[in-house]
Amino acid sequence: MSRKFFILWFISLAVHLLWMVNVGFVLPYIPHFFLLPFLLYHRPVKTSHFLLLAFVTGLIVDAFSGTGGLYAAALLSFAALQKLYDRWTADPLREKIRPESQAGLLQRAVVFAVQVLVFEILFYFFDGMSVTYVFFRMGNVLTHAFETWLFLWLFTGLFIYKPISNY
Amino acid sequence: MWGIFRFLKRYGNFFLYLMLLSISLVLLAQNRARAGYVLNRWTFNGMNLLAERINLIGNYYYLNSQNRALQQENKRLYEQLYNRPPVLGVPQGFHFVPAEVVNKNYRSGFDFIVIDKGASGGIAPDDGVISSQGVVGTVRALSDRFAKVITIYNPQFSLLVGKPHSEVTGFIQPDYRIFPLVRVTDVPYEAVVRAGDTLVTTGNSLIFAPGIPVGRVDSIQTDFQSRTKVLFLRPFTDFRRFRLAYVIHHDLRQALDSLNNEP
Repeated sequence: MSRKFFILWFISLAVHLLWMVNVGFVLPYIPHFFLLPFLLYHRPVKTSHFLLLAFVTGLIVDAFSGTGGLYAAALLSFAALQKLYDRWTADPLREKIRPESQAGLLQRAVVFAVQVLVFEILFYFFDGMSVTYVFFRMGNVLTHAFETWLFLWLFTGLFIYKPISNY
Repeated sequence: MWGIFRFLKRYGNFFLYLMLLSISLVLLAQNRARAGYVLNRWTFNGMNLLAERINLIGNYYYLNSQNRALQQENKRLYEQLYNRPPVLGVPQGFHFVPAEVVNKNYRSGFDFIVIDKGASGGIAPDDGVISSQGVVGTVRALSDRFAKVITIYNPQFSLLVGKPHSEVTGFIQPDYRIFPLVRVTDVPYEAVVRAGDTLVTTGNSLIFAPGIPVGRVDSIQTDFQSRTKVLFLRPFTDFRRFRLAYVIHHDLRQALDSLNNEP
């Protein structure tokens, strides 16, 4: 597993927990900082490691926020979806795909936003355990997603990280 | 063994995901009331669905005994129905013996079936055989445990059939060349018969009880020389599918036959 991934994982998780414990609800929602390594490093990490790490990350956040297995379930499902997406988009010849690291700023921002939105939908789904609940709380989903996206974008800019591809 | 390893290697990540997700859902259900309620409901429904499927499989194996029970009930009902006093002057005393088909041969010109009841089951040669749909044939030969039945398509089969609540009668004369129809001859020229009419047994020779459905009239031809009509009858019994039969035995039939055969 990449060392960069671990560093980013540790920093983002620490930032999230510190924000949660010390800053709290200054904003309507706490941005999901821990999501960052799972957005950027989904390609090079092995699937089983990726899933396990997502589960462990979720459990740690759950332990601090007292939400049972909510984050674990959401992050695990998100990680599985990421890997599934990778598998679908992977070209066996690896010739025609344009690496994400070469994508433009706007394109990356959109992909980033979609990924964050997917995570938030999963998060609210497991929160209410129903699809209806997600639609009912769509305003919260969008606001939360926007907040997370904004802070993660700033965070990424801070560390100048780009999505990593394995080729 | 290697197959299992290959399977696990291929779908290992999926199982890992399922396992981790179950752990997190259990934790979630313990911590949050709503999630617990929903998961309980899912589990309840899921288990019930599973139990239903398992029941279906179990029911399949019970079908045989259920069939036997239904056959016995049908036998009782048939005997009640066809022994009502007085039916067209036909003496009472019809017995219905449930039987199962063990061998079939049809559409060959010498159609017969073999049933699993023989002389020890209380049946005699020339007894009538019906299915739940209608007439099947008559018993031709017997052993102790089995009986050979010639079907309605066998050229040796003959039966007087009639239209219910009328005087119209005719003889069944099978002809395998017009399968799946049979020919009914000697129907009077004046008889009012239409395509779609149902013909039933008359009960004259005590082989069949009166009123058992035989088939539906498919088409009609008129023979102007002999001034009769020829009906083409489509029998009700589906020979491809039927498995359960009833042998009709009348106590007085042999006495009647001996009288009929008197020169």
